[in-house]
Formats: sequence, C-alpha cells, structure tokens
Amino acid sequence: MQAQNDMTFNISIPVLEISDYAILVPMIGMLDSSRTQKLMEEILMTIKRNSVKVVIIDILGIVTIDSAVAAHLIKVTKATKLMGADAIISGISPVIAQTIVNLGVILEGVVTTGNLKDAIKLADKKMGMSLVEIVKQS
Amino acid sequence: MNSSIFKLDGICVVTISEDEFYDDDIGMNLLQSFKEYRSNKVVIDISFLKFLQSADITRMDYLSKLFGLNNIKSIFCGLNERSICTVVHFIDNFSFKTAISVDAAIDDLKN
Repeated sequence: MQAQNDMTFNISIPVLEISDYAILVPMIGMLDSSRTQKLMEEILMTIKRNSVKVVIIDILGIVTIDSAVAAHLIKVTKATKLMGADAIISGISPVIAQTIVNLGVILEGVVTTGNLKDAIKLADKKMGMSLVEIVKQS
Repeated sequence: MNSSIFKLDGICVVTISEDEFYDDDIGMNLLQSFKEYRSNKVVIDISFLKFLQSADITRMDYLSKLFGLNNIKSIFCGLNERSICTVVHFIDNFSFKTAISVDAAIDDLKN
C-alpha cells in the first residue's frame, strides 16, 4: 500500500530539470498537507543537489483550489525563497484566479504567471537569458 | 571573534560560529568588523545550524535589518533544507536574502 502511494506521488508530482538552473514541478490532482510536505522536501533537496536558482510550479492540473491549498503553495514558495531560489507559480487559469481572489488569499511576494510559457520566459529573464530565434540566411 | 571573516572581491564572507550567533552583541561586533574591512556587501554563512528554528529566522531578520541600517547588503547562506521544511510552517515573514552557497551569494552581490 505504501509502495503504491509512493508510486502515485512520484507519478503525479515529478520534479523535472528543464535547464541548468531551473526545475519544473507540474502538479496534478488534489493537493493536501502530506503531498505538499513531500513535494517541499523533494524541491528543496533538488535545489541543494543541483544548485537550482528558479523553481516553476505549474498548477494547471490542480482540480480545485481552496484556502488550504493556497496556504500550502505559499509555504512551498517561502521554503524555496529560504533556500535562496526564486519560485514562480504558473498555470493560474481564470477560474483559479477568481477563486483565489474570492477566498481573500494574499499572494504577496509570490510571482505568478498565466501559463508555463511565460513562466519559462520569466525564469530565463531572471537568469539574464533569453531565447533568440535563429534567422536562416538564404 | 571566533567566527572567521575574510574579504573576497570586495565582499566580506563571515562563517559565523554557533556561540556568537546567539551572542547579543554579534550585530555590533560584525558591523565593527565590516567597517574595518571597508565592505558594504557581506555573505553570512550559517551552515553550523543543523536544526533551524523560528527563533533563528527572527535572528537573521534582525541582523539583516541591522546591516541594512548601515547600508550594508547581506545574504545568508548554508541553510539546511530539511530544517526549512519544518520551520516554514512556523514563520510568517522574513525580509533577509538567502543563497544556496557562498559562491552563489557572492555572484548575487556582484550583480
């Protein structure tokens, strides 16, 4: 049972290295205290191991958000900041944004983007990098 | 002072000792040292802290504000990731800057 739970967790919240300095955490399903704690530990250990500078948490796959989930996310961003890395929460859909505002959750100091593309751009910008289109010369 | 201090690229790097971290006069003593080293950018390595507590976060916040009043930019590094997982539940806000390592802190202060 424990092994199955661990497997479900690993499948549902992978920590993906998307560059030398950034990791992406796509979140799917429900988020509870136990999962958040494990996620936080995993993110912090990856930051330490790989000297990660930016953590992108994509919440597009989160089914529902309530004040508890928002509090969990804020804790993860705080912990990330304490480690010396920046956190970006991406994939905030209009429905989720509306819910967060209606709940009165203050996401002060938390960097958010509407989609993953913007989050990756922002991560690059934070590191002083940018993607440049290669113009083919005829 | 028992803590080690050296200057690298115009930045003071302090590896703080446990007894001095909890000393009431640590802020004043460090400020005096920074004045002697003529540095307004400092990296504080607190890797001795194996078990981070919320009081330690308050202490770092206090030191950061104290340095800020003297126009000294400071970055703390060497925080233990396992301790952070626990302590993050008990802290509301903090205003100090952190880095993953001394090198990263120096890079950050240079830019």
